[in-house]
This record gives sequence, C-alpha cells and structure tokens, in this order.
Amino acid sequence: MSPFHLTLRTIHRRKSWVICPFVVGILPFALPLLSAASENPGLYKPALAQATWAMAWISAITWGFFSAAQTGEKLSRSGLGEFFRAAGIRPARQLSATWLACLTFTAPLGLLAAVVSILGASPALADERSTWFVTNLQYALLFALVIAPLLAIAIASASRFGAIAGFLGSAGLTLYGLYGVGYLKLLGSVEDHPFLSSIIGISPHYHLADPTERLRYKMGAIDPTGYPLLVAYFLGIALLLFAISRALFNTRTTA
Amino acid sequence: MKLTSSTSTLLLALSGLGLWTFAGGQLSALGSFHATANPLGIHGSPYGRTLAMALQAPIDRDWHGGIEIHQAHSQNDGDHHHCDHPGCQGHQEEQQATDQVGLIERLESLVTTRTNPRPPTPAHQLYLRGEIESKLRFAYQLDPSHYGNYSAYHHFLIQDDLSTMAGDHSTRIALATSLARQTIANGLAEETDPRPALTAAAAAYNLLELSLSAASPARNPEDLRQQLEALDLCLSRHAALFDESLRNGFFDRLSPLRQEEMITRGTFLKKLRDAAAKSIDSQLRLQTSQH
Repeated sequence: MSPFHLTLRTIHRRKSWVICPFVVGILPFALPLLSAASENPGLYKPALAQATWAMAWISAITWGFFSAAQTGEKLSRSGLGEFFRAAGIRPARQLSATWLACLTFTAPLGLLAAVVSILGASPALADERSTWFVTNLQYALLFALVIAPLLAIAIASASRFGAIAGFLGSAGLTLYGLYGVGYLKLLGSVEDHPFLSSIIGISPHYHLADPTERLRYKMGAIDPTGYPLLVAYFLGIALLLFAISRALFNTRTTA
Repeated sequence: MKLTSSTSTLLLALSGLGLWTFAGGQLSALGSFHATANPLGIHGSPYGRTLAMALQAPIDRDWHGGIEIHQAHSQNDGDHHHCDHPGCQGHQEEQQATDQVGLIERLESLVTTRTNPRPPTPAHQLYLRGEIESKLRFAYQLDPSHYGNYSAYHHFLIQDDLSTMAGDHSTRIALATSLARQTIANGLAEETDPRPALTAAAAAYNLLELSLSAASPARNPEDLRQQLEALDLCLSRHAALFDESLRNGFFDRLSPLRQEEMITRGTFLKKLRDAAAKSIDSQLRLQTSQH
C-alpha cells in the first residue's frame, strides 16, 4: 500500500474526522442561537457565516494539524518511513503523499464553510448574492493555500521532533499570522520601531485570508484584478514552507 | 472487611460528591462565588493597558467598515476617510503608510476595500453599532484610566445616532454620568502617573457639560459650582503629579509621542475649563437678573 493510501485509510479509520464536517457543516446552524440573533432574526445570517468560517479555521488548526503531526511522528517512530524507503519510495515522495492525504481531509473544510455560507447566509438582493458567492469561493481557495503548507510543516517537524512540536509549531504559526501580526502592527504604529517593522514585514500575514470581516460588512468580493496578487503572496509562503518541510522531514527512527 | 473494587470506587465518588456539595453550599452562602469575570486579572492591569490600546484598531475597522461607509453614502460624497468618530487614532498615519505601497499594504487594501456599492441596511448597522459599543466597553474595562478609552466610550454613549439605545435618552445620560463618576474616582486614585488625573478631569468636564446642556429646571447653580470645583481638583491633581513626574524622571521615561499627547490634552482641558467657568458665570448672572 502506498503512503498516500495508508495515511488516508488510517485517518479515515480513526473516525475523529467526522467531528470536523459536523462542526463546520451542522453546528453553525445552532450556534447563532447563542448570539444576539435569537433576539433579532436579522442577525442570523451574518452570525451563521461567521460561525461556519470560524469553525473551519478552528478545525483545521486543531484537528487538521494534530492529525498531520500524528501521521508524521508515526512515520518516523514506527519504522514505517524506513520501510517505505527500503521499498524505493524517497523521503520527498513520502512527505508529499502523506501531506496530500492530510490535505484531502482538511482543505474541503474551507469549501464546506463556503457552501454553508452560500446556502444558508446569502443576502436577499440578487447582486449582493452573486458577490457573496464569489467572496466565499475566493476565501475557500485562500484557506486551502494557507492550511496546505502548514500541514506539511506539521508532518515534517513531527517526524523530527515529535507530534507535540509538530502540532504546536503549525498551530502557533497560524495563530500568529491570524492575530499576532495585527497586534504587533498596532504596537508598531503606536511607537515607531524599525526592528518591529522588519519583523512585521517578514511575518506571514494569514489574517488576509480571514473572511470574517468582509462577510460581516458585506463588503463584496475582492477586486478580481488584485486577487491574483493575494494568491501569489500565499503561494510564495507555501513554496518556502514546503522547502523547509522537505529539509526537516525525517524517515529514520533515530533522528 | 475487604472492599470490592466497585464499592471503593462508589465510596470515593460519594464522599467526593458529599464534600463538594457541603463545601460548595458553605462557600455559596458566604458569597464566595460572586466574582466578576476578569481572566488573568487583565482588567486594569499594565497588560490590559496595552491590550486596550490594541483594541482601538478593531473599533476603527467596525467604524470605517460599516457605519462611516453608510454615512458617506447618505452624504453621497464617496469619501470614506474623514475621521470624526470617537477615539479614532492613527487612521491618518495608516493612510500615509498605504501611500508608501509596500506589498503587505497593497494586499491589505485589497482585502479591506469595499466593492459592494450598497450601504449596510439599518439592521446591519445596528449590529455593527452593537459590536463597536461592546468593544468600547471592553477597552474601558481593560484600562479605565486611559483618556482615549474613556472619551470614546462616553462620546458613543451620549450620541443619539450612535448608541444602540438610540431614543432612550435618559438611560444613556444616566449611564454616561455613572461612567464619568467612576472614571473620576479611578483617575484620582493614581499616585504617580499624571495621565489618569487628566482622564478624571475629562470626566469631570463631561459631567459639567451634561448638566449645562440639561433642561433648565434640572440646572442647579450650586451643582454647577460643585462640578467646576471637581474639575479644578482633577486639574490641580494632574498639575501636582506632572511636576512630581518631572522631578522623579517619570516624564522622561515616556516616549516623545506620549509626552506631547499629555501636554496637549492638559492644555485642551484647561481651555475647556475656562470656557465652562465663563458659561456658568453668564448663566448665573442671567438667573439673578431674572429673579
């Protein structure tokens, strides 16, 4: 069995993946009841869109990175990596195969969030509805672009340093890119600091892929002429992280 | 007698449950469970102050992303960047930064530019106003002695078209009054930093302004005079702490930006105080001439 099929089957067998489609696809319909939407029905749609996207991110950061890290650790600690190596599968191929298997479970979460948001929370006006559709798809692609290389980092660093390091590394980097950079930037604007500005400059700005505010304000789709630049930015980060993953990835039982 | 495994487990569970219920009941009776939510003691702490400053950005976004867009549309001027909302800090700087067009700035402007030509609906606006209000309240709780936090929250509460309690004038005024009193108490309690006394002075001035703008039967000359005295007390407290801070080096440790901010606010409040004193005098003269 190839590393791809093996990982796919292992994750599938563990069954914990079921939680993710549940919290992204079903739970958001109940969550708005906790918000002010129970008093004001007009708020139900924005609350639903916010909930489903938040759940997609949370699921990817927690379950997605954790199962990727677990897979990476198993591969090196159990001797499976060495076995595949002996069978002629190079480490780079092992990494890409296990990564693809993890991605198969995680990337669709963004798409599912987009579908829930489109089906359940589309605005009533026809022109707003069509831009809502485009906005959600744009962010589903950005979601996959952000999560994909971080899964590879989780697998690779777990194969070398263990599952906890793999999970915390990717989750920490994502949370830093989503929220930490924003706070750093704010501190930078309060007090001018060249060192801080350069740190901010080289940080991954994952908050650019967070659709919450765009959807909440119904700001419309991202300008299609500028969107490729955004894709290129995340693709650049992805390629760099893939390179780091390849360097980190380890198939031997003793690192 | 030897206990079986399940009996000892049951015994353990029952004794635990018993002790828990007993102790819980006692603690509840003593009122020990009454606690205001303050995770990690962050409210009012030095970390809270930094966080409160950091919160100004999301407040700005709610404003510029929602409410202001609507106003711009209704005025039909298409300009989304006039900053007249309470507590807007550094937006002009942000504008200047985007003029330098770094990659990140370009990407940020891409994801924050509104392409939807329609303004938010009234229900949507109410939702956004609610979001702003809860963030302003949170920022105030984090650092009640911060000038910007207090002033922004106060301004938000008293404006008819901003607060979520639009229309309920008396509740909003009562809320703003108690907020100001709390801020004065808080600001005067500080013993080294001269800035909280300025916040207290701003609160004292706001109280005075609320009384001056109230309908005339509610205006009592004695109250006005007392409120002016409270304002004077805050300003003299600030002046004393300011002199002290110059002597003990506290002032020098502040960044030039913060130093300038404090001095400008101090001068501004003194001007406001003089204007208020004049207006009280003229009102009192008017009242005595009427008698």
